[in-house]
Amino acid sequence: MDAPKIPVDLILAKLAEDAEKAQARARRASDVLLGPLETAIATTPYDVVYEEDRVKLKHYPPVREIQLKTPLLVVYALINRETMLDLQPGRSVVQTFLDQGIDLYMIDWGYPTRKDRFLTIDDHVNGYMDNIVDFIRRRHRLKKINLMGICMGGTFSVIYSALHPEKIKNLVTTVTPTNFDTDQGLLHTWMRAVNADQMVDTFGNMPGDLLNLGFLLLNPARLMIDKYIGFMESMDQKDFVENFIRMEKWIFDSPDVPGETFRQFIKDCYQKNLLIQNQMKVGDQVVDLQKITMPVLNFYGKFDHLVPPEACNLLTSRVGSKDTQDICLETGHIGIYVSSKCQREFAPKIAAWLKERDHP
Amino acid sequence: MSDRTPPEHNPMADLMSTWLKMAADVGGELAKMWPAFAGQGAPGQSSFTPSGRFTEFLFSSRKAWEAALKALSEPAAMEALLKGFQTAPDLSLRLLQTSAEGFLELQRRWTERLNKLSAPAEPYSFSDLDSEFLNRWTDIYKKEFRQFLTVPQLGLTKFYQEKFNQSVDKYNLFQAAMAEFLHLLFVPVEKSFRVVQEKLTELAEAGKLPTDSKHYYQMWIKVLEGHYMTLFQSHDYSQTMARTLDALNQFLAARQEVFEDALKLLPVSTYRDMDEVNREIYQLKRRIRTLEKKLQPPENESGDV
Repeated sequence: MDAPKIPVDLILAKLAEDAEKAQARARRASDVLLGPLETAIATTPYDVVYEEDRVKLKHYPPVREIQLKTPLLVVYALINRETMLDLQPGRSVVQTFLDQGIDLYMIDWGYPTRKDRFLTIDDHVNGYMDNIVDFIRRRHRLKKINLMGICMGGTFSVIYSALHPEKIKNLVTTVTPTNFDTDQGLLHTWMRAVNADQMVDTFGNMPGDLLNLGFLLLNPARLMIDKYIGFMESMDQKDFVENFIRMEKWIFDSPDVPGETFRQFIKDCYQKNLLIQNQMKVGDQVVDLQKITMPVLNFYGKFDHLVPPEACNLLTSRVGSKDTQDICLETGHIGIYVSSKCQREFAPKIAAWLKERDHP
Repeated sequence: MSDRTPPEHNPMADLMSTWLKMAADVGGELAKMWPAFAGQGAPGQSSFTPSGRFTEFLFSSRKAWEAALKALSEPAAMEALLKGFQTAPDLSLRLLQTSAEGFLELQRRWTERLNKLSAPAEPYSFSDLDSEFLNRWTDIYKKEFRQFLTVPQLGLTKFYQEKFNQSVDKYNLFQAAMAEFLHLLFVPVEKSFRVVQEKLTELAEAGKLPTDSKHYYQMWIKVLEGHYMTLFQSHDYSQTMARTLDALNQFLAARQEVFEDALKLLPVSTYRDMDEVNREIYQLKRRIRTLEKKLQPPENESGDV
């Protein structure tokens, strides 16, 4: 006798089995969710050594003898928070840097309020960043420090290095957009259609929740459905739940972006692509990438849907430096910092690269 | 030969008659869809049979609906119905007629959409977005209702009333834009179900239906993701998103104007007041920063400052 085309009996049997498993999982999940959970993020101890308005400078006390004479300043984006670099023990770029003997500083941009709406890119780069760099230089009695930028913070770091090359010894850019004229990423396509003037005039600061909604809409099937189906399937595993909640905490902790900074970033970068063409003006100065003469290490993710490779990989060919290196990791925008695989390939590589260039 | 004089040609009667026919079509299409959903339309398949009471209810409702509409379409009933309307003021009649035309158009499109459900799904294509479908109400609103909100106001409260009307207008436009945007976001979901349904039919015919429900979900989520990617890269999507954001901004700005008026009556600073103060503080701080930097001593060789 031929097998039935629709194996109803097998499908029903599997459904019954799944239902039993789901019930058992729900019972275990209840114990996990109602019990104590370790979901704190950014737990590595630090001191706030400098403050200006809402901006703080974190310094991480060394956990071993310092291996690099030159300290490293990490500049995160204004979108989301720098806590992503210290998400959990074992998945922490901060810890890896400390383990490698790097003297580490990181900018915490804080939460902009209505009064910060007039702050421009110039205020962030030539104001806060420059004051912080000077503070670290004074503290260590050094002419130059190392600078590492992340995403939009990387763009700020590129601008800073071009405007103040005398203060930067080595520049590390990670998932940093500098070429905005690409159709590879949806964000680049969408931002061309956005009326930045109207948004800023209406909202003052750009609401973080609105930006987050935009990021979720980049892939709603995965980010709004599949992710939570995955959570339901593994919510009886304490480690999984803890990591999942840590990530949720980070994702939805979204400060607003100061209005004038958002306006200039969208218009000059996403819509006119001025930075890579050496035509972007910050304050009263034009940003000339040829003035970036220090060594440059440029990381980006092959599967980054926010800042695609095409947005990152032009930089090294446009700067004035002869010592440049591009590294494309097989991961996405966030995976570069948090995936287990990249924990081995990313921060240790930066530490080794900086050590090689730490000569006086 | 009848001695009754034939009824005069009445455009309103034509309109009503067409609308009733359309309504019957929509009802008919919906009723026809039920057997397909219930699996009765697929011979050879193990189908779920709906309870007899529900089917009876559905078909009796359909019959009643058709009968009622047919009765209403009779010339005599139509005349009686319209007599009531003709006594209404011209303005009401005009609004009613415009609305009826709009609803007629909507119903025609609904019928078309229902017919489309049985058409084969074209994977990863968004050429038939049917964007006019939801634009219809917006058009009616813009052409016929909106001008009531832009009538010049008079007297002491002129500006307050105008701002209020403006915010109502912008709210309506935002709602319309939002509905269009949400409709667009739902299109991939609708399409993905149709594609998966077809894939399942193919698998069933080949006797290769997976037994694990996770496979069905994985198949659907992959198709859905693909459809979203295609949609998001389309010009239509970018434009609709931009229009929605514009409408939101305009509504929020208009609403803010009304709030500012209300706040003036209270001892509370408005955003406008605070922004002025904030701008002054910002400019002062910038000047101080510039002066501080100018006063800093030059660096020595070791970088000490």
